Amino acid sequence: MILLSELITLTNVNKKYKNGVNAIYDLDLKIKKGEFVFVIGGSGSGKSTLIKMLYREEKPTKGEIFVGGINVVKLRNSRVYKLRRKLGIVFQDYRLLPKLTVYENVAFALEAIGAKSSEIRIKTLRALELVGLKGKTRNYPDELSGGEQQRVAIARAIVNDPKLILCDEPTGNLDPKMSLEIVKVLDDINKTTGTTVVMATHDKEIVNKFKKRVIVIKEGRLVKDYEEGKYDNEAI
Amino acid sequence: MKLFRMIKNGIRDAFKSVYRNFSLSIASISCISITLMVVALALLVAFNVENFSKKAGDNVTIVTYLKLGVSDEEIANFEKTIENIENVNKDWKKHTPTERKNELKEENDFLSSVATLIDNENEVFHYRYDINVNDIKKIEETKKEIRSLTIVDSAEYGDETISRMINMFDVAGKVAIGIAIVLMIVTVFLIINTIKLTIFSRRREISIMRVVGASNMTIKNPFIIEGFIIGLLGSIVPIIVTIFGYKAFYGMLDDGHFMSFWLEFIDPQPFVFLVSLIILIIGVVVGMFGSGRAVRKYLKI
Repeated sequence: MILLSELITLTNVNKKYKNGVNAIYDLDLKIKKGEFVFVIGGSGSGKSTLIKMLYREEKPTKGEIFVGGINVVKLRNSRVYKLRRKLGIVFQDYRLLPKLTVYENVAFALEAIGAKSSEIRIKTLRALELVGLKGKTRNYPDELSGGEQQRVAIARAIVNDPKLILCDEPTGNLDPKMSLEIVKVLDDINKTTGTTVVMATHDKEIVNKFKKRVIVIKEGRLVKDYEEGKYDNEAI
Repeated sequence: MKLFRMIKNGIRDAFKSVYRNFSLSIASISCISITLMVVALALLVAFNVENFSKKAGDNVTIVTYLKLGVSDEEIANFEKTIENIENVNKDWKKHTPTERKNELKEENDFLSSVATLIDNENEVFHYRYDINVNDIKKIEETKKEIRSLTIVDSAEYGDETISRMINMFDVAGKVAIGIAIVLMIVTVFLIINTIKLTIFSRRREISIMRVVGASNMTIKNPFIIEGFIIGLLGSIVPIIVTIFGYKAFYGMLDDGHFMSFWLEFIDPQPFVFLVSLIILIIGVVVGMFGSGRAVRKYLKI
């Protein structure tokens, strides 16, 4: 049974890609509501696969995944949007639309799910304020720094009040100072709204600085899971 | 409200993309126009052939004579047999020798005097059946079938040119339908490619829409509407050509008749509007089907 406090439950999850690569072996994992979790591991360790399985970009070959009460494995393609509406997803490459302004990029997420225009305005401005970009609503993405662009992406991820924010190496393209800024924004969101954050990263400094729960994945297996952990070189 | 907003945005995006991929859109629209023109021709021919057949079927009669001296039992058998022939209209007319003698009497004085001389009419007059068919196109086969019965002396029908002509029109109509189907398939492929280009130019947008939780419907909508618009624009020219072309053609005929009483064309009103509606529906459906096929692949998550 899934306890109410568990937002994410993975049971005996295995993932083998069609090309024969085994990405995840026998993964059991529970993440509670309101947690902030770093998923760390080297390149090809399977941490991106784990994140992708959580938003149903990939399906596990074996095992069960529940996210916010939704059985992700059994979710039909045509219903995936129901899961995605409960999630905010942040990528390494920001994935903004270059022809839309900052405001429009964030509002796009609400337009795509058919929100009312009055609602779109209020929520968009609130999200942009939360990431500290209220003064740049009319700028286009290419007029912003990398850190600012990633903050726009975060604003887009949180604009629909998700239960869970999934971040796949959000600081991968940023310098250390900006990276810190981004994780601070995520940390603030986690603290003020209680939104659960799962962030895949291999940024040592950040992990060591924030003292959050750390899940270490190595060659597709969960090798360590510690509260207030730090980036342990030997583990990777 | 939500649905309305979705459709509104869809229409806006669709028009934008038709405009953006102008050359390919024009190609699709032209292709659909040509296809629909052939479809229109096929429909006009097919409907008119149907009309000719119905008219001619009522008027062309297979006149059948039985051999002399047939027994009542044989006659009953014969009637049962022809009733079982599928193409035979059930309202056939029977003329017994006595009836035929009386008919002859009524022709004129001379024939009447001849007829009165005949007192063994069963040995002089054949039983005669006037048989109409349901489908004039198959009249030749029906005639042969009747002829093949042993008790039949002869079976003929009048205007053979009419039935040949109708058969010719029928073949022409079927060829036109065949060409139309081939063209429709080509058009669908062209539309698939047009829409794919649109999708390609918007794939980033689509991937983000999927990530933020847009339903498949929302993502599909603009493309389906784009296909709809292509179909709609593509059917304008064929409809105009159909309406004015058929009216002009009808105007050249002698009150709708061509060469013979039986070749009566259908009155343009409201016929051309029915054909136009069919064309419009085909155009729109082909357009939407093409775009639906194109999007499908991109919606697998």
